[in-house]
Formats: sequence, structure tokens, C-alpha cells
Amino acid sequence: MQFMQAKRDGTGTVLTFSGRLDTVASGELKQPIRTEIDHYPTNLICDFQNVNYIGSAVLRLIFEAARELQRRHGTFRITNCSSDLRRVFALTGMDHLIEGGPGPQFTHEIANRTLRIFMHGRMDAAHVSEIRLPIRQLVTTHSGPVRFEISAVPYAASAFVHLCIDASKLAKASGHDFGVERVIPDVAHIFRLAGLQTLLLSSV
Amino acid sequence: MKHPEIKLTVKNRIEDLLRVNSIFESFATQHEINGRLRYHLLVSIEEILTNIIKYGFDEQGVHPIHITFRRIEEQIEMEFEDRGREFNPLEIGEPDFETPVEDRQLGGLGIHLVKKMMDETKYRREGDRNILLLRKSKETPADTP
Repeated sequence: MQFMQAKRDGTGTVLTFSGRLDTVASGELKQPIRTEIDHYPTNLICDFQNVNYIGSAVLRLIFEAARELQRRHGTFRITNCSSDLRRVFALTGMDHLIEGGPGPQFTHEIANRTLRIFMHGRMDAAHVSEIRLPIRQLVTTHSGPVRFEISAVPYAASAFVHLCIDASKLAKASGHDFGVERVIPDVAHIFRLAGLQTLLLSSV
Repeated sequence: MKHPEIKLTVKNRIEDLLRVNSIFESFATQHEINGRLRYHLLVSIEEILTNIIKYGFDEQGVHPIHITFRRIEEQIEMEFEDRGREFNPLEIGEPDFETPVEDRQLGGLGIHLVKKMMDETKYRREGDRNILLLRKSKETPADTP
């Protein structure tokens, strides 16, 4: 079919998606995905190499497929995602299903002397340790206010809070302030439990 | 009657956290653990594991850590067991909340979060094993500070 091809071997099924996965595509994909799960419920890999857009209707199908595989104690993985798709999966809390880990990434911009770092992905201890050094470097070399924009961070624990404390210290050392913007409620709650609500500047 | 549980063993490596998360997600889905409760259990797993990995072993090298996720009616239990030196993470001092953020010393924050989020935290030493038990009711509101 147009939007998906299925390949099976002895170990499981690979579904390779292509094109623009919008509402129209979701109508065509629903039954074939269901059929694959019912017939081969052990290992499923969804390959998104040739996908340029994914809408909420198809995201829901993928989420339901992942949940169904978990229920059946199978494994479910997402592979070959562009950085845009990773961001979409991060926003829906599904980035932990991406093969090789979600690989949290960040981009940054400097506007009106403010360094704004846009983060996405799960910020657990393993991933924070990967970005700590480059983030420190950015903050240290900047002279001006620093902001972390974290609307695409669905999960953070103490390692990420420590990263924020660290950034706050570095910014303060050069006489500037630091804050965290566009925080989802669950992450904001962690900051409050940590007694750091003063770092929260805005929520989503 | 035996209570439903999942047991797994990981190594003292931070990258094993991803595997634990993935298995917990499966357990959570099966037992309809959702929303903030699910989030708090995930954070607690991460904080306990990172503490054991960082401070639990004197000798370098690979050491196993055994983890159990268990449901007892409306209670969720998580047990962490290792054969490291005697180490009770619950005794790590509370973080300093009085000092301004810029001057604050790091340390103790992860365990503070766990104590705040769980209903019960218990440590015991049995022979050469450290056993840490966390308990949380599905019915306790997870959004109370």
C-alpha cells in the first residue's frame, strides 16, 4: 500500500512508513497495522526514514500499537527518525521507544542578548550526562541572561534539576539571571518538590 | 496468592536505566498506572538506581542490581537489591533549601524527591545485601507536595 510496507522475518516485523502521514493516511493505516499486530505479536519495528510529516491521528495509531505490544509482552521500537520526528515523539512522551534511545538534542539562539536553549527529549540521568558539557560550554561563553525552553521535555528528574542549578550559578557568576520557560506540569512539579520554583518563568 | 510482579537484573551502568524504564513502562501499562503516579515512580527508579551506581560499590567493575516491581492490590512496591558495601541512600542528608539557588550545594536532591513522592521508603541490610523497598498507593494523590 501507499503509506506502509510490511516485511517479516523469523524475529519479527518491520513496518516501513513513507510520505505524509496525515488524517487521510491514518484511515488507510489503521486496519493493516492492526492485522500485523494480531498476526505477529512479538517484535515490531516502525521505520520512519521516508516520512516527512506525522499527524496526531497516526501518532495515536503508533501509540496504540506500542501499548498493545507491551500488553502482549512483545517489543516495540521506532527507528530512522528525523530530528523533527524525534521532537514530535518527545512531545507525546514516546521518544523512549526510539531505537538507540531518544538522543536528547538541543538548539539555541541568541536574541536581545538572551541565550535561549531549546531542549527536547527525556532528560533522565543518562541523557543529561550526554549534554552537560556542551550546555556548560554555551552558558559559560555567553554574556547575558540564559533561558532553557523545555516545552518538548516530557520527563526530568534530579539530574536535570542539577543542570539548571549549574547553569544558574554560571549565569550569576557573569552577573546575569537564569530561568526555565514553558514547563509542562509534571516537570514543574519536580522543580517545586526540589524547592526551585523560583527558576520557573512560564508554563505550557 | 502470589502477587503479580516483574523481576529484572541490570548492571551498575547508567545506560541500563533505559532498559529498566522500558520494562517498568510495560509493568505500568499492564497495571494501569498512569499520569503523575507513573511519572513519580519513574523518577524514583532513576534516583535510586543512580545513587546505587554512584555510591554503592567500592570496587570498580560490573555488579548486578536486582529490581522487582510488584503490585499488591492497590499498592505498588519497588525493591532494589545489591551486594555492594553497606549503603543506605535514605540517610543521605537533605539538600539545603535556605541558600539562594546560585550558592546552593548539590547533593541529596534525588533522595529528597523520592521521599516526597513515595508513601514509604525502607532500607534493610540482610547478610551482604542492601535491600531498599519503596511503596506507593495507587490511591494516594500523586500531586501533593
